[in-house]
Amino acid sequence: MKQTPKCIMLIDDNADDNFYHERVIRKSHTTDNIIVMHTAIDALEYLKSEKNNDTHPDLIFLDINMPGMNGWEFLVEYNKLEKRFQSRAIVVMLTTSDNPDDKKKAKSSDVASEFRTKPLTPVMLEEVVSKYFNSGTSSHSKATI
Amino acid sequence: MERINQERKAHAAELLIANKELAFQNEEKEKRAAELIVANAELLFQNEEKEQRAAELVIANKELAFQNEEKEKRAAELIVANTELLFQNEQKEKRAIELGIANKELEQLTYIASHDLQEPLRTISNYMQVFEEDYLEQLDDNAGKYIRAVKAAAKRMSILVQALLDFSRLGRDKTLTLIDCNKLITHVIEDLNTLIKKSDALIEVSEMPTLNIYEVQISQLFQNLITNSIKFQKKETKPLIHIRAKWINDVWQFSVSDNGIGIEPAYFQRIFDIFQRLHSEEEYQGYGIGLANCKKIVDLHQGKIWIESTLGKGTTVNFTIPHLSL
Repeated sequence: MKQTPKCIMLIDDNADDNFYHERVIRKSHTTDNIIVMHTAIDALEYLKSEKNNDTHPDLIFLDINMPGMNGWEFLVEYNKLEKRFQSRAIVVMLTTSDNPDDKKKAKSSDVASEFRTKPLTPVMLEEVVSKYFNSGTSSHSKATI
Repeated sequence: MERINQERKAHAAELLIANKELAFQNEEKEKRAAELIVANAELLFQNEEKEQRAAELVIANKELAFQNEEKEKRAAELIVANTELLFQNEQKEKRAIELGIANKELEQLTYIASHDLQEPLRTISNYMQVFEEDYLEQLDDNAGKYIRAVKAAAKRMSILVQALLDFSRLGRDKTLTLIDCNKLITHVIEDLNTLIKKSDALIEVSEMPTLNIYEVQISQLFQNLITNSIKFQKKETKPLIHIRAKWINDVWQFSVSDNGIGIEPAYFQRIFDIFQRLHSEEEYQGYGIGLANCKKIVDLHQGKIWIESTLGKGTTVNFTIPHLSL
């Protein structure tokens, strides 16, 4: 695994959550490369068409409840994408409530690595990064905020 | 002449023989006639017998025909009764399905409400956080106090909404297992170790039974009751808690007694309703969830739960668990 995530993608229809989560990531200095997608379809399109390695996310925070394609449906479609894409990204599902059914579902998923309750906090981000990426939050990245 | 005489004699002798013969034949015929008369009489008798038998058969036949009709009638009645039962069964099945749907809807409603209420709450909390981080320095002390109050209220509501969701889902994933309650309570006490040490509480547990229960839920029940006993304590006294069990009227009756602040009899029922609280947040912190969960758990076990308490002296929470087949 890489030292730290080079690019993080947020997939959420809630603009307020995106604003807050992006802010938490920026403040943590984990990466400056944050892609925000408001629908799962847009995210899939981006992942399909994207050829530049640097802007390909290696960590995805995925909302479950979204109008149109929801998080679970996104996972199914994402699974169909080429292995070279999905092998790179860690998918963390973010949800509003502690629903045991969702937790169970996430555990049985091949694609989703984690299941967390919103909001994304600095502590949660640190945990995910240190669990799936070798070194924790990089202190060398330059902050933009 | 002689010859003629001889011939007549011979003739006469023949006639005599013939006569004798005829007489014999006559006798025979008379005998036969008599026999025929007897036979006739016999036939007559047999005929009468047969007629009688026939008459009897006609009667028996009628009887059978009647019985047949009765049986048909009974069969028809049974068919009607059967149809009625079938209908009732169908109705019951329909009712059960309706109940299942209503239950599902209620659960869905609670889930949606919890989820959809959580989202704006989270937005409030998040922006308060952002606001605090970015602008608190530029504001006075009062502004900081207000922000903290908004954050605390949003957090509390978030907990309440989550509790509502947990309450509605309580017991959905449950498995009945034979459990040694001595071990179960030991584990609960271990889990509460920090709280028990902090409050200097003393817990005495009598011999506990081994019985069929929903383990996770009963653990939660004891945890709630012990936590309550420690929480609702007079400031100057150390919590003393007794956990007992006895077999009464074919059920296991458990009790958790404390030397806490006690409850007024007027509230013995109400405290089992969700979000019902008897004290202000400043006096005793809580959400009004614990005992509502306890009641639901006891209901799951088809038992009863009730309070005995003297204000200022202590409270005993009793609950029963009947035998539940695996």
